[in-house]
Amino acid sequence: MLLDVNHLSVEFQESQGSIKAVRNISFSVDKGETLVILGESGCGKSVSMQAIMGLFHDQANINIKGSVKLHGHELLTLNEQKRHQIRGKQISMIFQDPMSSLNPTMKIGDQIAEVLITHKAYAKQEAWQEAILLLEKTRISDAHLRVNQYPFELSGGMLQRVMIAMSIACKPDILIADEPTTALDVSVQEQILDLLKTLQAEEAMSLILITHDFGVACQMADQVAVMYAGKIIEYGALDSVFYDTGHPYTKKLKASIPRLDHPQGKPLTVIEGSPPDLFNPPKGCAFTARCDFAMRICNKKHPQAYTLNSEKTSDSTHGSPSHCADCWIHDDDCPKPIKTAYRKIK
Amino acid sequence: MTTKQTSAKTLEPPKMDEKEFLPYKGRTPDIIQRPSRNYWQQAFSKLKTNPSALISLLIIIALVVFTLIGDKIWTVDPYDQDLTQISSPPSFNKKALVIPDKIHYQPIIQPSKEEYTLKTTSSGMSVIGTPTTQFIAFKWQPVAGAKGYQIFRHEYLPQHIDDLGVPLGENEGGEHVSYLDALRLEPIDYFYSIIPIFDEGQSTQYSTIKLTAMDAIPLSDAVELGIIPIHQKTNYLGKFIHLPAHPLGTDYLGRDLLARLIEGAKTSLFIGVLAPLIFVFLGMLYGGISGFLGGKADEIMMRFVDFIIALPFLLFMILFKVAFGIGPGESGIFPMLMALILLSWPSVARLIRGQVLQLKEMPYIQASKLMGANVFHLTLKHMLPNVTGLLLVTLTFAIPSAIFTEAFLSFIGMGVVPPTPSWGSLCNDGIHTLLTHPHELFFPALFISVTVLAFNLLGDGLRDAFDVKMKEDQR
Amino acid sequence: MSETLHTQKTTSYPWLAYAIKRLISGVIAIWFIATATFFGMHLIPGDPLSSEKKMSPQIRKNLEARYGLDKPLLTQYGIFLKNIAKGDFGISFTQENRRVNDIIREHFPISALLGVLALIFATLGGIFLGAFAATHKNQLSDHVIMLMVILVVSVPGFVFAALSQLGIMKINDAFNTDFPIAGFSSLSHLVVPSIVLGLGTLAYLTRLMRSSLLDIESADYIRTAKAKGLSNAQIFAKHKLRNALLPVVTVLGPAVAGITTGGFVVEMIFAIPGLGKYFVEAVQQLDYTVIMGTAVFYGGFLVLTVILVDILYGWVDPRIQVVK
Repeated sequence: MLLDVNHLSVEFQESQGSIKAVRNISFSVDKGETLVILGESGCGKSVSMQAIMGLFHDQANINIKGSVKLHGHELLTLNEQKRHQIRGKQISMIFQDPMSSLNPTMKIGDQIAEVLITHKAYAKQEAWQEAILLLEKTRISDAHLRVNQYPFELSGGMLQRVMIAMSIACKPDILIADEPTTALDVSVQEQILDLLKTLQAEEAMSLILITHDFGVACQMADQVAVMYAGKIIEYGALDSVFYDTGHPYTKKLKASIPRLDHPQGKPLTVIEGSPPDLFNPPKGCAFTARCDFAMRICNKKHPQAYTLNSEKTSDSTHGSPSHCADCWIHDDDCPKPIKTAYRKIK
Repeated sequence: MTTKQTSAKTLEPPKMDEKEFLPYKGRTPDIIQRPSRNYWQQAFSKLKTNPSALISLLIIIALVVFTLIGDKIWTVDPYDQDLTQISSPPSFNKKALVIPDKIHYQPIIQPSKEEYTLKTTSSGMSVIGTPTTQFIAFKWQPVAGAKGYQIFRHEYLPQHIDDLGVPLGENEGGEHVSYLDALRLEPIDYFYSIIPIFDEGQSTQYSTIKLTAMDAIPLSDAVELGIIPIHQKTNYLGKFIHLPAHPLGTDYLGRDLLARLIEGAKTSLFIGVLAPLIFVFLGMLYGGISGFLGGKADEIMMRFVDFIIALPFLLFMILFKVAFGIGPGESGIFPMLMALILLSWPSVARLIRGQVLQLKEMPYIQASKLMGANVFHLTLKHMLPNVTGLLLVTLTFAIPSAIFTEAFLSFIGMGVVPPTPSWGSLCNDGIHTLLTHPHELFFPALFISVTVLAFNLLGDGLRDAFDVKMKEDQR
Repeated sequence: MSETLHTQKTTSYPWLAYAIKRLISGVIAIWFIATATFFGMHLIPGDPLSSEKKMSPQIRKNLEARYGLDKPLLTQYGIFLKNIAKGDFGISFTQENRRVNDIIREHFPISALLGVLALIFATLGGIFLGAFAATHKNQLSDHVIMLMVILVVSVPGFVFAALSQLGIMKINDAFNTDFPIAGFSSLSHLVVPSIVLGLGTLAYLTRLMRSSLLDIESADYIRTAKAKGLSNAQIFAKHKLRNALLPVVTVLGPAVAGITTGGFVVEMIFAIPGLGKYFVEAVQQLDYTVIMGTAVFYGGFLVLTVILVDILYGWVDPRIQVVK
């Protein structure tokens, strides 16, 4: 397994208490695979990725527990120098807002070349040549002109291409894309996703894509992990998560995808209520308050992860994890009528 | 293959109570937990957690009290000159010897009889009477062949004849061997030196005596100050009496510094608070109107503002002061006020205009407009509440800078005119006696600094509490 | 690709157009300063010669002729403007036969030297202390620096000048040293005055540098730089420093103005024969030609400084060039 994340927890110490942003999540990514992490804002998806990148390391008020292994080597306990060597070279990351994610007073070329100079000891001249090639790879127009421009002179879509060029400069094993299309025009979103897919194939890298858009997940994912209130509540291959959804939250997410055949005049589906307070996460399932199938037990105890289709897949040798979901509905003791009612809804 | 979630499945799950699977009734989808507080409550509760801002607020209140009722408590007249205590350091309980008004001193004339050479020790020199702050008299052995003497006074022991510098006085004639010094004496040690002068010039020998002056007050002064009753005044001669207290000392004319600081606070805070109040108000009007009108009018109005802001501020303050001129009997407060207001409103106008431009684009303002709100409603209900925080912070920061400006101008003699005291002009007075009486600069400087510090810290606190961005709208 | 380039370059030399535009507005500002000074001086009750005691009508007439005061006001104004354009500021009223140009030529270099030293001390010190405080945020050194800053900001400059003079004197007394206390005969005379003069600006810049670095700390592009695998030192040198310096550059104009006017007082207290001291003396003695001449000169100098700083800013921050 390329990347192995086990029991990762992230807590922010604030003056009013600690925010449990990520609560004991585990997942893994294999070579060349795409994992999509799906969830609404504030569910801890970005935080977990930044923790994996070690971006919180110099912040004293952030507690990180668990383990992150790349090629079997622990990342969380690396010393600073080693961490710098891995970031940008073996794992790289692109962010939500390309406009603010690039240094406003530095030329595009310099910002890309910097990665090559740091990790591959390129000379400046070489690095600039390479930067142009990298930009061409991202299908940007007039790459040789772009290198001499500043971020404010480019559009959001172009800047996200620059970010991508920068992140693939050292041919990383894993690219983490944190909502790479959220801040962009809809027309550009599609192009960026296409580009990511193509590059992933060309460079044979793994991709972790963070999104709140089930549509994007369907388009990109091999595996899907659905996060809610700091926990992964459903995890599995795209097909089984989509067609054989194991968690009421995932069902609601799916139902809220706008569809072309949506009846006119009928309001779009929304998930009522708001996510729980992460200062004080509930003892039981965090979704209880918003769940149509909530049972007494749900409020008391967090469900274990139930494997849903162990008979079908779970061939551990190929590395694709079995489909599992954290919901009491899958418990053997759960009354039949509830299970049936759950299966009936879309 | 590692899927931790599945591993739990291998454990035998404990059997559940059937009731646990009954529907959960406590579904409460939309919970808003925090009590809603308005803008001001929020700002003040935030301000309350800021100790330095709170202390500053207390200091400012204390200053206002000091200014307004200080002269009711400390009733000493700030213009009264107590010539018995000139440049006196802080004192509460100073005693002085009452001495006769007339100085009993007869110059001693004693021709040289024998050969006498001066030694650097005080041999041959002796004091006449009691040395006091009113006068010190002393005599010395005549030096043979001298045709006169130069007398020097120092506050430290001269190490060498070259240290003596400029003489305090000169006696003509070798037989005039005494000297009376009544020049600005203070209750400290004095070193008097004499050099005989011969026909061929100054002697290379000198002699020094150390005399300690005692606080003394002439009888009639004591009566005049009301310390001793007039009908039995002679009883007090040669006795010690208490002098009027000067908690912060006196200035170079013997005026009580505390009283002058209270009086000066009136001037400094009057200018420092009134000018900002007026120019913040004017700036708000101008900037508000400019931002509200928008378009061409806004552009022209802002051109004018840019122009005034580009002028060098203090240079123009000085020029304004010169141009206004100060007639006899005027204090110079009004010209300073005018100059401050004329030069300071544009930066406030620019700040407010930026805020108003931003607000105009806010959806709720647009909505209010669409609902048919008129200009008054928009201004009073939407614009004004949203700029009050900014205005308050601007005002709080404008006050210390106005106080600084007043101090700067008064310091270079371009501010208020003597005898009206202001903290800046008190500093200016104090600097002349800095080397001998540092308290005369220290106290007014302390008042300026503490006031400015308090307003600055309060401003910082208010800015954080109201979450105001002080950055001006970029042109 | 459907993306389009948003840059619009109206001229081929946007930088030059910007500079010229600013220079024109600067000339207008100087004209305004000159005009305001001229009419201000002539509005004063009495006239420039009334302070001279006991003057026979004949002498008065001669003097009026000499200073051109016998002509109508507008004619005088015209002559004044024409002379300024030629760079001629006239003859002093109180120092007979001394040309204002000579006063400026002799004394401005001293002021400029003092000012430049103070500015260097303030900027380098402010940048260093601000960066140090920001990188040691909430540690003791940060608190100490910020406490010093708030204290320095709250004490008038002339108090520092006076106190430092007193301090040198005490040191000289105690250790029998001979540090210069006042006057100007060597560069060492300017050491303490320039420190005192730069102190306020230093405190202001320290505060600015610290807050601007802390703002940048949480900027997205710093996160990007970290994700790229740059070391902390690289991030600081290549990404944080330059961006943090931008606000510092914008306040250099006001800083120069502050140091220039602060110099009036420092020159007075330390008896440094700079132009500031002469300006203040001229103001106190109502020496009209010197006031007008030096005011216009100072005004022009400060206006030009602000323009230079703006142009410098355009050079440091690539984003400015495109803004109209």
